Amino acid sequence: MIIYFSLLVLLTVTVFMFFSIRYTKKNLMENSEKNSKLLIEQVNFNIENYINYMENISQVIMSNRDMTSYLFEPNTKETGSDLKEAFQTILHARKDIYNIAVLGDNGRYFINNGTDALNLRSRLAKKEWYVDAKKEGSKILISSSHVQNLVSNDYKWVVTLSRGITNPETGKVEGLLVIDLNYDVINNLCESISLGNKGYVYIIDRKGEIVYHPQQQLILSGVKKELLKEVSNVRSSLTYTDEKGENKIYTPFHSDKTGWTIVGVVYTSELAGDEKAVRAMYIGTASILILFASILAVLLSAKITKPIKQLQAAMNEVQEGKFEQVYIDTGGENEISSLTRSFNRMTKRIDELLKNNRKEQAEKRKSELKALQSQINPHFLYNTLDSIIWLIETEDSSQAIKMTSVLARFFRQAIGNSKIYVTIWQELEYTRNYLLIQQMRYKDKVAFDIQVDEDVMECAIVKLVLQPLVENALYHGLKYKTEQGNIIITGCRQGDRVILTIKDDGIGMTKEALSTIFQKKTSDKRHNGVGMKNIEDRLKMHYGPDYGLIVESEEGVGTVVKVIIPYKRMEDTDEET
Amino acid sequence: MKRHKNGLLLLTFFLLAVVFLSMVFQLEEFNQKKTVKIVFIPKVQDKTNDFWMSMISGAKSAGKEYQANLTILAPEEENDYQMQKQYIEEAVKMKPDVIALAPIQYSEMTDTVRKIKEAGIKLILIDSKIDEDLEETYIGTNNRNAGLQMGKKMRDYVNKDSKIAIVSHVKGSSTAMEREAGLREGLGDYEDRIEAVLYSNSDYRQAYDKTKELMRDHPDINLIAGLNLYSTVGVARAIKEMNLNREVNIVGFDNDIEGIQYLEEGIIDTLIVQKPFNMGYLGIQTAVESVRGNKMEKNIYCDTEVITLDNIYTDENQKLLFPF
Repeated sequence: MIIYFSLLVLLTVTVFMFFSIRYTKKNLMENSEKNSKLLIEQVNFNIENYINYMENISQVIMSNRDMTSYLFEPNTKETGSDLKEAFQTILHARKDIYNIAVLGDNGRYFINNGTDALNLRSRLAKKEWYVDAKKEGSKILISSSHVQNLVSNDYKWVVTLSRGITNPETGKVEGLLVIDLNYDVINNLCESISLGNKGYVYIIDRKGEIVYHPQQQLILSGVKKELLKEVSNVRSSLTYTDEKGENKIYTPFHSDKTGWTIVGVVYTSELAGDEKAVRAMYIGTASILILFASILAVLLSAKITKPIKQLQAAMNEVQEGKFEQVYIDTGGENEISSLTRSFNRMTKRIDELLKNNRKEQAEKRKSELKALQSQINPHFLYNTLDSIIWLIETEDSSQAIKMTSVLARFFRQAIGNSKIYVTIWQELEYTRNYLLIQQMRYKDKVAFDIQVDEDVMECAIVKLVLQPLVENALYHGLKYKTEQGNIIITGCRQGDRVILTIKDDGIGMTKEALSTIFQKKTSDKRHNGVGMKNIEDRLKMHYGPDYGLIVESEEGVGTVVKVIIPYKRMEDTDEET
Repeated sequence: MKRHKNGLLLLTFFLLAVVFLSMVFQLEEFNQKKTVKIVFIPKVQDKTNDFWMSMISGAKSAGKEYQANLTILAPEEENDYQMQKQYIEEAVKMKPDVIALAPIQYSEMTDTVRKIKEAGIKLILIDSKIDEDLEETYIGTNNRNAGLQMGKKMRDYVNKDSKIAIVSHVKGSSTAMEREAGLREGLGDYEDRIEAVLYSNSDYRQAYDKTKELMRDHPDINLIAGLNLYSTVGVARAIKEMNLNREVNIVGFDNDIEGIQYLEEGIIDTLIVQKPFNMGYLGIQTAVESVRGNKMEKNIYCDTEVITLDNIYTDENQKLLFPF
């Protein structure tokens, strides 16, 4: 139950997380691309600003009359203060402009403040930037980054803006304006861009050569590879896996002004760093959710399963017939509790019915018993009366009187007492009267002895137990004996029980007869007496299963019947009729 | 009992859930690569020394790329090996995963270097070696090959009665020995033209003085090899001052602006140039890889470039010769 519920929760959370993370990942990628693009546009904006500024400078210088006259008029020996001033102003204002130079094809030149000399060994004609600039004619050209050795004793990394100078006399391009931008400007610009901890920016020119790359030397010497020409035509971001298996996202930006491509590189592993944080957060949340869900599952199952289990247990009890203790209370107002309420009503009803049924049964048996108790063997009465008549005929009046008075006592006891319980003494008296009558009838055929402890005399016993047993002893044991038979009744207390023993030395019983003794419903129809079974049942009914009769018998020796009842004084007995 | 069982069940389930989630989403947090702590001890950190600055920036570049915790401890002067020994001991106390060292001395500091090993710290040697095999990997110029390259190039300048002098740097240092051996091999038949081997002790002044002395004593020498920057520049200074640049060819090792200028002027004819940026980069890369348990090669060599007047300003070489 808990498992299924939890699995359901787990599945839900997992699916939810899967899509969340996917979505987040996508978002992260898009954000990073946007971020890269923004940063790179910023870099480009700054670079173009510099270039614009350099263009403006070039414009200013191109319109300087001093410049052309100095370069191309052979008579002019000194530069006018105009050009010198212009150069100095620019260099003074902008520290990021390294050199400003005008170079005439005729060998004349003016560099910076005029004191810097042209490096005679610069071999400009072999320098790529110079060759390209010359090819462009009067147009503006931005070079790639290079070491400028134009000025003697000065080797600086620069980006050069060049522009051909036209000789107004000839109308041909016969000179070159050179403005060098300190490469540090671009270097710092690119280095200051943060694309994660590992990401970087690089710039390539339109030829696919590196303008800036933080690991330029590694790439140029072939230790590392980089996308150079590959990105120059790409408009959107692209993902590339390098030789070490690291995924990088390249975001290029093309500048029409410079012809450069600025590329932002972001390591996906670093995005994943963010992603990891997000993922950890998601998983944390999911774990907590699952924990809560599990707790809820336990609680819920306790609410649902527990009453069902209670109900199940109660059902089992009912199956075993224990109705009294099955009342259950599950509380709450749901299907289960209504079910338990129905169950409770049902068991209560069944219990009531059963109790009624049992009561009725008991009553029935009691009335049967009463009827039985009031039954006196009619043959015994006839025979006794016959004996009395015979005594009177033989004028043995004293015997006749005695017999009649015993008979009277016997009947008084038999009929007059409507109680279920009597004292053992009363029961013994009744039995003694019966035995006396029988003794008088059969003369010396029967002898009896009653030896019951005083201790148990006042104990209660169910009425009509001993007399029927004695009657049985007489008619089944002693009757078939030729010589005198003896009946000995003893009684004593053993712990909390009382044991009454009726012992005869009659013919006894066979083992088969003994084993079936409690099966007969009633004894011999002829005597209309009370069967062993009846007595046993009554004892058990009144005293419970631990009490009753024990019969021992040996053929030709006699029979011993033990009556076992609880030790209970008459006063303590609840008399119920 | 029942409650207890439920609790147990719940716990089991919860653990299962966590494992399951981890599996589904491949929690990399568990095996995230740890930051490697590296101490890099170059021979010197001096803004005017392009070679070592370039190597340091290469190291930093790799440090950034590999997200390593990189500390640099460097003497202020290149010969200060006592200082470097102190830095080694300091570095050992910092308990890094790996120390990348460019030892100044071949044999004088071996005892100190051994402490790195004894502390259970991995050792990467950059640029130079020591007289005992303690390092995981050596990264540097294959000095023998560089010498060979130099020697072969020198043959271009040898004529029938050439006399050769070698101005080495520190006697007994591994680079000096290997470069000289390579050079001799490269010269081949011309090895017997070597008239003198001098030691500048990595000092411009000594190189300059000894060259002047050499030229006074052996005026017939017309080809001098400088085996490191100090030697090369010192030699060039002397030759320039003595106005012998037409008579004497100089083949040098390493570069700075002064050296390039001499090359442009034609005083120095060829420079054998190392790639310190690559060395620094590869040194730190190797350090990181070795800590991460990757088996590295014993020796990783960076090649050298032969620079003459004609190829100073090529894309690759200008970055090499003018790193900043």
